[in-house]
Amino acid sequence: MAITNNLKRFFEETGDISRFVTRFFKEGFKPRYEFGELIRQSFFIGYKSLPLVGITAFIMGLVLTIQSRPTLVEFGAESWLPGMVSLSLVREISPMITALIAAGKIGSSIGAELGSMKVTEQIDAMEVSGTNPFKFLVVTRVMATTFMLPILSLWANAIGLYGSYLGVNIKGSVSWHLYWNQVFEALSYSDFIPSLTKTFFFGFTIGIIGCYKGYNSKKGTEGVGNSANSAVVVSSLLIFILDLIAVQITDLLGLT
Amino acid sequence: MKRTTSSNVQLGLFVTIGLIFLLASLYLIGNNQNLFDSTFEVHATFYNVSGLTKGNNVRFSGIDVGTIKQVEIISDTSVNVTMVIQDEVRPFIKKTSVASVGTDGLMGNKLINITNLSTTMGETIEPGGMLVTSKAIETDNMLRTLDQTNKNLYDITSDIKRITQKVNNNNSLWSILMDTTVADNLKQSISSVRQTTRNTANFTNELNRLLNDLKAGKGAAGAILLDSISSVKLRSSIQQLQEASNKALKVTNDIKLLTEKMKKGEGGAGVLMSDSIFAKDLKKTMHNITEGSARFDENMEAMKHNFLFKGYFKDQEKELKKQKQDSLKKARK
Amino acid sequence: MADQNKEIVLAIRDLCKSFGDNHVLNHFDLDLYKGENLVVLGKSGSGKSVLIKCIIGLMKPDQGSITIFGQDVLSLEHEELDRLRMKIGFLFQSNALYDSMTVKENLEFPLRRHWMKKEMNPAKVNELVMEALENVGLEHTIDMMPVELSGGMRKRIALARTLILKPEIILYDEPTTGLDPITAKEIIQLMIDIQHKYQTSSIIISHDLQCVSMASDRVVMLIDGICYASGNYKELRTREDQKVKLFFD
Repeated sequence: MAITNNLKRFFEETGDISRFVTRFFKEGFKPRYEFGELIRQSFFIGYKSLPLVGITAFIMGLVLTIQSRPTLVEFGAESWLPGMVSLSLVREISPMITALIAAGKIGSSIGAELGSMKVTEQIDAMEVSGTNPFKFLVVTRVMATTFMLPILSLWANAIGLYGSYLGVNIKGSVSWHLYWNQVFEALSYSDFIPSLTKTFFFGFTIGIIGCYKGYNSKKGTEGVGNSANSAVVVSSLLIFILDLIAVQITDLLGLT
Repeated sequence: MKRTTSSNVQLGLFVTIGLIFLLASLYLIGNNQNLFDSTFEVHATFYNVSGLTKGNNVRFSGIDVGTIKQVEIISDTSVNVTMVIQDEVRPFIKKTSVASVGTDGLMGNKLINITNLSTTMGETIEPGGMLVTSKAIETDNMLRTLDQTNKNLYDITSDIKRITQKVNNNNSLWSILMDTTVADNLKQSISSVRQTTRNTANFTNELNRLLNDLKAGKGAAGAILLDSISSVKLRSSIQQLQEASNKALKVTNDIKLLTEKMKKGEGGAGVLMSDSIFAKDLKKTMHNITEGSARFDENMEAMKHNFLFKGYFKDQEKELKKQKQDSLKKARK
Repeated sequence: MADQNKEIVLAIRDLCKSFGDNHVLNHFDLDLYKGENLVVLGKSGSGKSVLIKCIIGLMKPDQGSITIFGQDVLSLEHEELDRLRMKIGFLFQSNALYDSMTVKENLEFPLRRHWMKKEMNPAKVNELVMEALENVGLEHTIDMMPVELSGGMRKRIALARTLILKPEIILYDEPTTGLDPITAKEIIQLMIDIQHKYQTSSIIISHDLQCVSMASDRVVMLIDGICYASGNYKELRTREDQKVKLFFD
């Protein structure tokens, strides 16, 4: 019984989320557009997340380089280090790090913010004040995450590769110029474009799940907490699933 | 409102720099694939391109100057390769320049090497022109020869082992103790064997060093292929090895003859048996040979397991299988 | 039904709303006359909040009609509904002040949103904001964030925001809940003053007897989803009906 109930709830929620997504596309492309709010949200979601994403990306680039070195040295392929690390960073690590950090930071804050707005009737108040709260709150946030995440991911790439440059130079010695030469020799559009494309989807997922959870928050402070929590859990999980799908698609398209 | 303005500026900076990263990466990656330089095309026809594909590099005098645009079969014996080469190197590529298929490192990507054979000034190649081609040294063939050599060596040493065992176990030796000429012969043969062994050991050491260099990635792998001197060296060392093994074979034959003579009781083994130093030497020599061949075997085995060479050995296995199947098919027919 | 000849600004007929098997509104009827303070009294969960959310269009009733200034709320298009909403103020139970905005931005919000299409004069906006703050006596809080304010101050700011568009009808959702009796009294006094100043009609949802006794011109008791009893406060107090008496004991 419990299992059927859980299943039922799962499909119910999936249906709800689908409807929410449809609503986003229906309302998102009709005027009036909330540009001011979009800019404000982009500022909070993009700019304010940069330090966190930057630090994580930097550390990942550094650590990945230090960790990869012994294996490559064993094969005498130390000179592959920049190329190999840049491939891992650009193809997988940067988008994932950015997405997971964003799911944790942005997803939870959207979930909690909309949740508390829902609970304290701020969403109703907006509606009464001649504002479509879905457009004002949801569309702007989802748009902001969708467009800011790729940019954050680009930053993560740049900072991570810089971290890797330092990592290479802890034990070895590779000049600034040679390092970037080797990095861009290893990279091709088929590494770069799919990884950038998937960050759009990651961003959309984080925004839409955070908004969905917040917008449908239950009464009370516990409801707000639950919204924030499940926004992070669900969007992180979905990011991994999307990543799996993305790798299959790039593989199918022969972009590996 | 002041707060909003400054935050807008920050957001603008954030987005702009992000987009600069995007454009820079797109440009730099594209630059590496010659997307933004002015280029021209040349063609070359090969009998075998050894797995060259679209996007592989083209090198002129060891510098990356372009990429492969297209590889297409034009007849049952020739493959046409279209290369895109940067305009700026066009003056240096002559109509007499030779294109060959090579490898980046021992196991790296395939590429096309363009080299100027003579220093004499020739006519500069026209866009769309044809390059002369030559067959490059093929790693495959080289390694196949090495493998064959190894097998030969193994056969030789096992023969020697068998013979010594026979010598050790043969009671009839006592009956041939009196023959002195045989002893002299034997003395000579053994010194020959020793020489051979030393040669083999030297070669093995050399090969060992070479492989170590390879492992250490000192670029020796590339050097082997690209540097004609070292490839010549390698060839000659292989020849030496073959010579050595031929000599060893001769020695073995001698020994065989000798033992046969011994069996027949022609005497003379007394010297051998009484000379304990000699016996020791013989033992040591044998030990050296086994050790040498074992080490060589080990090296080959290591090579097989080394990931760099895995592909090669797999390919070889596949080829072997294919050959087997082909012969089976033929047999069925 | 003291003034039959007074103009009806809001009429509810045959309103039904149910959540599953729980029929919170069951063929409910109500009239609001111009200039009166109508208190809807009922216990928690009796559907009072549902009622005013239906009036402002935040909830769709299952059945029935709501007519405000002659317009049927339920059949209005979104834009027309927005225009109608400008004439209706709504004071939320939890104030619904936007946490991320300052008091000034909070007050400006309905102005900016409703007037988006028109040319909006910053001086005019400032003037309206100041007037609204003066009405509630909190001019000094203009640049503060809602979290910095006390409960009573927040309620007053919310009231100021409700009033900023000069609505003709104000809907109060439990205006005194969560406030201490003294602050509650102040808020109620403020409500009465405003009603006199702007000649508004209001519906006050409450279960607070102090509020009912002070502010009400007329009281409607919402019990079991219907308009169970109505009359002025004193009159209802003396009723012998068991269910009515429960409230006043």
